Amino acid sequence: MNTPTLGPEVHGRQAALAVELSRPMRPRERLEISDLIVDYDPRTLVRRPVRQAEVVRRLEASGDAWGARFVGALPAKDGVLDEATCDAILVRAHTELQRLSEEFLQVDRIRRILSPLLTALRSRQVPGPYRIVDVGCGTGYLVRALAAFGRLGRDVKLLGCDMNVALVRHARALADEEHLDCELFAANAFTLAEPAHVFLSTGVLHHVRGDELARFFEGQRAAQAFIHFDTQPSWLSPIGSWIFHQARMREPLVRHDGVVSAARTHSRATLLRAAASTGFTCRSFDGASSWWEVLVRPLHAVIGVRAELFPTFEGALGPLAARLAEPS
Amino acid sequence: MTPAVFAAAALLALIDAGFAGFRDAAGRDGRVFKDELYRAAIRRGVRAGAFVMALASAWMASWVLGAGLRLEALAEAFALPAAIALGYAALMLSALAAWALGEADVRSLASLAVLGPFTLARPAVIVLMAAAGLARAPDLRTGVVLALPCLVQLGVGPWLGRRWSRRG
Repeated sequence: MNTPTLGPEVHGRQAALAVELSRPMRPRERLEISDLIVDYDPRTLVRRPVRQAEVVRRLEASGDAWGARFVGALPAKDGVLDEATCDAILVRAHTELQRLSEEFLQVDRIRRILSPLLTALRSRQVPGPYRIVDVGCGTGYLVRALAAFGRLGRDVKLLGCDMNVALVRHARALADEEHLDCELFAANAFTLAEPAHVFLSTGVLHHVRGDELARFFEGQRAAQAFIHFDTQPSWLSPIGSWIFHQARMREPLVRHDGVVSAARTHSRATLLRAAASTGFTCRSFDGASSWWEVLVRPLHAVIGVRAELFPTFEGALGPLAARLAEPS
Repeated sequence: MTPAVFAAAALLALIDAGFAGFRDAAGRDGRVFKDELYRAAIRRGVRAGAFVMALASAWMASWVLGAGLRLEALAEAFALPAAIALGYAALMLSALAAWALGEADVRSLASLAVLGPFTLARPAVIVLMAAAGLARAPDLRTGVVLALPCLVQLGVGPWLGRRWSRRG
């Protein structure tokens, strides 16, 4: 498999996923199957064939015998994983994962940060319309739900980007069916013709590993702000994730990746260090310091805002500002 | 007392079946607005639960009417399983009320601390009810007559799920 060369402008979940297959293995690093069974060229978005034996080998090398068996049992032709089967699994997986956002009111959590951010943009007279881009949007639930319930204003455009064409196609069909005012693209979120004002993501950061994390944030320098949510880094997260996924999810891949992702989540310090490369004022939001807080707020965020906007944003947050934490 | 015990059990079984219907539909549809989908799923669950309950009632009635099993003995033995079911239902319904009325943090807490783990524990709770019925029954026959309807309730979810399997 070819090793993609990633320029600093090429980031996003799928971009990170694209290099996952070809990157040298760190010892016993646990891998998410969803990162391995599809592969897109991050520059051209052309799909690349995924060799089943290679994925099985990587999973075995990571000590994941179950994952290796799962991928080994997927249909393949001439040693290449069947694309339609993998797409169908991922669409089902993302549809199930939508339950996480629904059950934890993730849209509400994001809206409570986005609204003050938009207040700051408007009051500082940053020209609109304000383009809010969900990076690695999958089936686009966040963008679609913000379009449905967000009440963010007429000067806001909601966009979702993912490099997985099948997921975006499904997302568009769902948005059309419910007449939701949002746009969904099979694209690299960081190289859109019209750049974003605000980048969002949920559950994407842990897919971006190693040096790619700093590049992920560097790709957002042209924006005004970003809000990236991910699972709390805590000993409780993998346990809670296992229980939640066993209770709520059916897809074996989702159950597997849910636990692995909770174990792979980045620490607050790592995220804030990487986010600092944007030059924005960066803060951790809802970072848990006890197991109790993990139960109440299973996701935390890293937020970055241009320095000149930050005081207005912080003021507009009101009581929520107390949940921001500076890098230590 | 006897009719009240069985009426309460029947009500709980129907509620449980309604939730089984909800769980069967949840996570299968990516739309944002799913109220009608869930209402239909809950109705489907309740219908399946009513069917299972009718079978269970017929089963128990056949033993009471046909084999001379004492209804009072059944009710007495069923007191412990009913208490387990009531405790479980009270916990779940309280958490569900907190989830329905609370803001995001309360919902997360209700989900992660109660609704998730105890949904996972549901089969074990039902098996425990059946075991308690067997243990408290004056004889094996009465115990089996009680335990079987408990265990059949476990089949409501998979029964509802079969139509998805057929669709592939």
